[in-house]
Order: sequence, then structure tokens, then C-alpha cells
Amino acid sequence: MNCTETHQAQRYHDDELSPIDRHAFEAHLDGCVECRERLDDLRAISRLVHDSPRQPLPDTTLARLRDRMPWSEDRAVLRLAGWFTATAAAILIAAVVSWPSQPIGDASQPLIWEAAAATDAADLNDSADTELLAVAQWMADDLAESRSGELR
Amino acid sequence: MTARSVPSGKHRLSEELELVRRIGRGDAAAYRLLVDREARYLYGIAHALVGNAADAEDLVQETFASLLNSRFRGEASLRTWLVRILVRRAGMMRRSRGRRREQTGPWSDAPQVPDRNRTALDCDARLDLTTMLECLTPEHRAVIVLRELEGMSYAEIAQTLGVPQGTVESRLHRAREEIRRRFKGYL
Repeated sequence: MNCTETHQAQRYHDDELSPIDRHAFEAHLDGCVECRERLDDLRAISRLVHDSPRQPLPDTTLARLRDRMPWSEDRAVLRLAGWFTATAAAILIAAVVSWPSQPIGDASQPLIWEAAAATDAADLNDSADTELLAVAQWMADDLAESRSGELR
Repeated sequence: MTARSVPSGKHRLSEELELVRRIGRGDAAAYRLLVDREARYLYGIAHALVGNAADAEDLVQETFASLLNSRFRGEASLRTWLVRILVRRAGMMRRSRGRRREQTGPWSDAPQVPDRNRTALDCDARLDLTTMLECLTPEHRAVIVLRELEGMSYAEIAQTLGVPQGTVESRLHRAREEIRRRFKGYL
């Protein structure tokens, strides 16, 4: 391949040249056998691809395509998503309810929720309040101690 | 229902826009009309791109399904618009399949190595679009389909495939060279 213009043949063939370049290339074609042959090849390739038979669509496939409505698939996906969400929620609730708050192997100790269930509600509130008060007292003492240290 | 003749020009555009709108509203008759009109054409291209009937059917189905999520505004014909989606989806399908398993079929990035006994000149009866494009890489198949069958410009192909225009040009050049080399007996 000796002609430096043959790369233009593809652009010319694909109608990608500006009117000026197109005109210039057409003038070049008159005197260049190589570019004319290249152009003939391109035209033949395009014709071959364009005219080649395609795989026929089987009637059974066409029937399936006609019957498979895209929005019905959407609904199926939504149904599936709903089912997954419900399952996930059920698993989560079951896990929260039955989650052991102490080592599973320690069967001698009752689980907290079991103990809570067996304890009187008033006792539970009392013990929680006492614990809270103890923590609050400890924090207040700690704060007072650090302040007196700063003042000194 | 058989494929009906497709109207042309402005009437065709408004008719196609209306058809897509009806499909978006869940109109089954409109959907079937589109399938009757375009399924054969799309299937031929899909088969040439993926090389087998099952994937071609999936691809066409996905292309029709994408009507619900895409916005057709009528810049190009509905057929061209569908082919663009189909070619993009073929690329996505190939990449996802490639990740899942090694493939030796037309899905692989390398072109098919033809059988020694199955040169182009030996297989006149089998030289359909699928057979011809089998010798190309998937990227080269895509540019050939978009240029030779859809008549898209380099800029439109570049936009469809998400590659620079220069890449489109060089892929087209290589693809055509490969076809010329393998099928010169037909030219």
C-alpha cells in the first residue's frame, strides 16, 4: 500500500468527510487505482454484511416474546422482593427475641429475659432505679473531685 | 398478528412515540404490536452478536423490557433506538457471563478460530450474518452491526458504545479487514 490517502477511503465510504474533503478525495480517486480498489473492497464488504441472511426467529420464540410482558415481570420481581423483605423481617424479629444475653453454654443461669419474666415488675423498676442512682452519684462525685483539684 | 408495514416520516415518529407511551401505560396490545414489528429484526442482530438462540432470545426480551425504564424521545427511529439498547445489553451480558465462567463460544473476547475444514469458501450455505461475525471480536461485531446495518455515524456509534470516535474508526477498519481476509471469495 503506497498511497497515503487510503485511510480517507473508509471515511469517504462511511460519509464521514466534510464536503471539502469529500470533493478533494473524489478528485484524488480519479488518479489513484489503489484508493479505487480500496473503496471497491469497502463497498463489497458493506454489501456482503448488509445482504447476508439473519437467523430466522422461530415461531415458538416469537410466541414467548409476545406473551412475556415486561411489566408482568416487574410485578413478579416486586412480589419476590416483598417475600424476601417479609422473610428477612421474620428472621430479624426471631433473632431479637431469642438472642441470648449471656453465654449459651451456661445453662445453669437463666437468661435475662427469663429472669425478667420471673421477676415482679416493681422489683425490676426498683433495681433499675437504684442502679441509675448509683451511677449518677458516682459521676457527681467524680466531677466534684476533679473541680476541687482544679481550684487547688 | 403479522408484522404490519411501518409508516414513514413525521407520522412514523409520532406513531412510535404513541406506541412507546401506550406500552409504558401497560397496554398489552401495543406491546405485542411492537414485538410483531421488531422482534425478527432484533433477533437476527442479537443472534449475530451472541452466537446462540437462547442468549439471543434473552437479549431481545431484555431489550423490549428496557422500554419501561428508558425514555424514547424520537431522535432516532424506534428500531435504531432498540438496536442501540440491544448492542449495549449484549456487551453487559458478555461481561457478566465472562466473569462467571470461562467461555469458548462467541462470547469470548477472542474471535472464534474457524475449523480448518470450514473456511469461508467451503460453507456457502452457512454464510449468514452470525457465521460472518463469528470471526470477529465482540467489540468489532458491535461496530459492524451499528455501522453496516444501522447506518450510524462514527459519533453515534461512539456515543452508543461509550468509546472515543477514533476507536470506532480503528475498530471498523480492523473488522472490515478481517471480513475481507476471511471472506474474500464472496467479495
